[in-house]
Amino acid sequence: MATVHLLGPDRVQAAASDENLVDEVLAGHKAAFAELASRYHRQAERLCRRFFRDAEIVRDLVQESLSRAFIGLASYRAEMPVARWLRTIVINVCYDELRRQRRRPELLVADFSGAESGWLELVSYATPERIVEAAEQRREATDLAHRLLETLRPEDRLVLVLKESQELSVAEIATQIGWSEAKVKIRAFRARRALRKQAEVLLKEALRR
Amino acid sequence: MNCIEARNLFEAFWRRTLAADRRLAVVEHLKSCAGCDRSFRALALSAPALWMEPGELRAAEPARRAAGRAAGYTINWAGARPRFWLGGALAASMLVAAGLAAYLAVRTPVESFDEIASPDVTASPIDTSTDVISASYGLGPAG
Repeated sequence: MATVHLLGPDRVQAAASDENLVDEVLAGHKAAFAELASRYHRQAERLCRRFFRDAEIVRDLVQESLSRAFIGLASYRAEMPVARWLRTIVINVCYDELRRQRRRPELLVADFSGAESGWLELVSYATPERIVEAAEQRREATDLAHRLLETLRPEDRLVLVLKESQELSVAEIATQIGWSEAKVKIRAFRARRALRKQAEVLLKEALRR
Repeated sequence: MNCIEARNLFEAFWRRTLAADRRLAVVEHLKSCAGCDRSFRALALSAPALWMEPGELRAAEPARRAAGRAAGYTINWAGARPRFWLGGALAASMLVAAGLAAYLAVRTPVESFDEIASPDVTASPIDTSTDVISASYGLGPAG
């Protein structure tokens, strides 16, 4: 693998491959990590935002992920692309945070804000196209959706988000998390079943009102 | 279109990646199948967190609220009666809302789905196993 030894002009760093940058950092040129971090900072942030809405928490988790990556660079093996290796770190950091946070109890319509109740009513009665359109315009739709996800067990939520939001395959998720594919499938199934069950209860209650 | 086909297309329907005829087929199926309709509406409660990009909504919110204030009333999203601003507060709130909208539009740029989606994804099934799909949506064994 070609190695760039000189940290010349910025364009040299910018043109360097991820693996070259890793080599540079391991050779003691720690500034090369800044280039690596800048390449993947945004993706790390987007992934964290799939799990957490709080901007402060997202910032902390991205920082934690990059710190772990920097410290763990010596363990990086070139068989895995750097991007995927970094993603594994971000996923583990998010999973740690999911387990650290308290799981929310099941939602009750009685606890909903006026806006959330309105959204629930719309989902109960509107056409499918109208529901999709309204979801894109209403903060309460996203808020309620996240609150629903927060009622899931951390491992179920992790798998569901990676499968549905990140569109990773079962095999990819299994590799990233270090679980068997059977376990990933079971967790995804349980997560969908739990969400569906809760959603149906909420919608039934909305129809009754 | 049968139930398994329809439910496999829910995500693509939500993400607006279906061709018009497929979209219509899903809509028609939901009109005629109470089970699938219930399933879609249940999915709709979690879909914004799973199938929408973070930040996609935030860019729309300030502009919408600014438009509401400019029209002279605040909107209670639960459907309550509108309240009306006094004239002096209206001018001030329009300025604030416009400034906030401009600031947030820069800070939270909308990422189009096309930027993020894989170009060859049309309607990706939620799971590769139809038995799992059937079981997870409360249908009988597939096939």
